[in-house]
Amino acid sequence: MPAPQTDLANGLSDEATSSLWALGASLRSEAGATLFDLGARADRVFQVIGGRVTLTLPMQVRGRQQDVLVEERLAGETLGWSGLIPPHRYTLKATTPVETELIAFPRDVLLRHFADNPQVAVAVTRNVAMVIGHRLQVFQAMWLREMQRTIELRYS
Amino acid sequence: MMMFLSILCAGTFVLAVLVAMLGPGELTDQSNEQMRLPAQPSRFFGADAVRRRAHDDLAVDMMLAQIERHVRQEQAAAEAFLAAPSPEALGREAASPPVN
Repeated sequence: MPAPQTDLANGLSDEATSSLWALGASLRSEAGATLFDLGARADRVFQVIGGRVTLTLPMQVRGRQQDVLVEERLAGETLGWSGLIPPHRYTLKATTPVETELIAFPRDVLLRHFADNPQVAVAVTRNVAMVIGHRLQVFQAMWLREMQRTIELRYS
Repeated sequence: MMMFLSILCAGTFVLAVLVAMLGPGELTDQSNEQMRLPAQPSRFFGADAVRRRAHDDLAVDMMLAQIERHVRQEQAAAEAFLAAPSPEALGREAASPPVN
């Protein structure tokens, strides 16, 4: 079966992608299951193959703590980059609202593979940096929009 | 004397039949009236608290749905800004009203 096209393997040859994929373990998450909790030790990076993952943060809503949607991850997208980036703690809670298929890459296995394959290491690290950078840019823009509204509400 | 007794028995019988025909409905309605109590809110097992809790849950669910819709629309607006950055794109209104 050919390796699925995902953002983690961008720029890798077919051979390198297949080798990378062989390091991961298939994982099927049931509808409503928690993939990882906020603050949990992050020792894996995930690639969504099918289904959907919601990333949430806790918020007080009418005096009760509720998980509020922050982001979603769909097929082909990467999540759990805290598995590769210190201090290796997940900064969001991940749940699967529908049955979801993923590949989980353990950090220690990935790091060993990177040590043996520096070109793969560079490509995957760049891809992870793109995921992190994109999130940063999206949230910068969202934060600025909220700030703009706050200013308009306060000084209108 | 016998005739008087016969008429008395027949009269009683007719009266009994009449009471039997009319009586049960009237009596039942009366007894229902007596048993019907003014409506009082139930206090068993804190029914009010349960109802209030259900109302709160619904309000929280509605608010969460509104936040979720807002986040999705704001993300879409932010993605549109990143695709073609400009001051106008950054300030463009999303479809949802602000939550705050």
